[in-house]
Amino acid sequence: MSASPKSSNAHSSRLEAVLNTVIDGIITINNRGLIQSFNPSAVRIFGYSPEEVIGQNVKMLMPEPYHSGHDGYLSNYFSTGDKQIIGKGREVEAQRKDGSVFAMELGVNEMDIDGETMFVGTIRDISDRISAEQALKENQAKLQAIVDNTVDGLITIDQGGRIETFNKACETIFGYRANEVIEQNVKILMPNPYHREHDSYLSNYHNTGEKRIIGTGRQVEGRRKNGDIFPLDLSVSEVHVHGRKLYSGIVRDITDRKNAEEEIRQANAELEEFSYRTSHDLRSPLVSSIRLLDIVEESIRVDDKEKALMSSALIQKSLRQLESLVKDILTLTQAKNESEELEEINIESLIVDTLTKLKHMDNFERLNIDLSMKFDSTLWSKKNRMMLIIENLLSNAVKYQDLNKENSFINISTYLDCNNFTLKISDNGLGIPKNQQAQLFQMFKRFHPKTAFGSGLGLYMMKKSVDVLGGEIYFKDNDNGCTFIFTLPVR
Amino acid sequence: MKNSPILIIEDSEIDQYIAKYMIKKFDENIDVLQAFDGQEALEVLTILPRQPVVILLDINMPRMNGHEFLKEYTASNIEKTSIAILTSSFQQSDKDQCLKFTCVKKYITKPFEVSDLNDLLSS
Repeated sequence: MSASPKSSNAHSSRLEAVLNTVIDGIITINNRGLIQSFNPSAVRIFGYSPEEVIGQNVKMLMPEPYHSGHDGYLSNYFSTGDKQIIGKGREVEAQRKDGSVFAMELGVNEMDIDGETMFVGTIRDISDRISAEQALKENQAKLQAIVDNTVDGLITIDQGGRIETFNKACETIFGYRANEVIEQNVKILMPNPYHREHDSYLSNYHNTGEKRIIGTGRQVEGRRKNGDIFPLDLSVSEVHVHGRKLYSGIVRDITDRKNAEEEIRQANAELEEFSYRTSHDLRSPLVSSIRLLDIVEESIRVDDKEKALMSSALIQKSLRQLESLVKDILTLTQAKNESEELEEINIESLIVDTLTKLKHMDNFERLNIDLSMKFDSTLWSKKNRMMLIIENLLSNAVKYQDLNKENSFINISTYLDCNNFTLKISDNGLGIPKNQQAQLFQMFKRFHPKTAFGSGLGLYMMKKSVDVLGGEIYFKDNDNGCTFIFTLPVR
Repeated sequence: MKNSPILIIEDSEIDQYIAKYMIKKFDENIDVLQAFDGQEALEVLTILPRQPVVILLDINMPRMNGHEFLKEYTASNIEKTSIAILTSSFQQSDKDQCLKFTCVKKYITKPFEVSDLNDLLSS
């Protein structure tokens, strides 16, 4: 059979025209993988001229791992007939002359020309499509990452109140895993009355359009999985997605803020009390002293020397009280501001030194003081604070001894208890009236009239210092005096 | 006839001394009774055969303060007399709280003057 050379020529030039104008790249290779033809679109796609590629192995157009694997693909096909790509289209990666890798859609067909197996590859550069898809995916991942990582909880619910989205922050805030609450009614996150009434809020809104919370924020209460109820800031907005109405809520756990507010409120109240009491307590001895000076003057005038001396002694006493109060206030403000380094404390010598300091106090000598120092570990703490605590406890025990008792004592012991340094000071002094024990560590509390002068700041200062050191102080009423127990964790 | 006594309820011995001095200066014959807090005052008043003509009451005292005393005193069956508050507190709330009690006739902010006694004993 002989084909007419003319019609054959015409056919082949038509074919060539088609090959030259199709948008897709068309490459033929032989059974060894060597490139036989490379149309202009292939040139455009890959950046190689036909001369550079014809006769070369087609794997030059492939990045790893296809580059190394391609010979194997071919021989595998010839030995097993197992088609991995032939006859199908798929997305693969290809490499341009400049080394850049791009996504392409590849279709491979087998053909037989003069008994020789050839393969035709049709190539479409789909990097634009892929990058658009990738951008979308990336965008979604980015959004998801944002949603997952916001500190605020994000919840979306449908019109019936069923939870659709529950981000990681919500999991942290509420203690539920997302899969435990998705599809559940959002009211499981609410304590009563919200829990009870939420369905009616929703239906009310649907029926009347009356917004109670949508579009605004407000403070409400939430309920965690463990039943804890906590304050939260909630803002809700209405979202329409493909004709569906959703509500998205942003929730923020404001427990810490509330606690901080409460602390500030307390500190303010304390400050107010402090300024009221100091002004009162500072003024009293001054007013008394002025009046006493009048009495001194009058007494001298009428030659009542005894009364003059008595009055001036009281002036001295009054001014000494004033001085002692001012000293305590100074100590208190210092104690508040002082940031002190930790150091190793020799507790025994601290106690002995303190007792030595207190020796000048009235009636110190009639006390039977017993020391039992069993604590022998190392204690790291702030020395000045420790000193303030010990001084306060001991000077109170001395000051408020019961002079009506024969055997007044102070028992001081230190020991290690459950990894806590423990200092226990017991006495058989005047004690604290039962009905006032609850106010023991408040500012300006005094429990014993007539007996000594106290600023009413001592126990308060001490408690503050104990708090700063991270320790605890307990009072035990032993019916026959006081016991104070001060504990501090040993590092 | 001897005058009825005056009771001073005051925790500060200095202010006790001053108040006593002022009373004696006003009238040597007035007996002065002393209590160092509200609780002691209630005990004293319960056993007194004749109630004082005036009670001078401080507010800031340990154990039982002036406010607490007024509550207990009003509720008790002790025969009531006139009370003058004698305090160095400028707190309006202290004043308001005290003046709610009908037995409180006067609110004196220290220092205590002889003229205050004059007012109290002449009315």
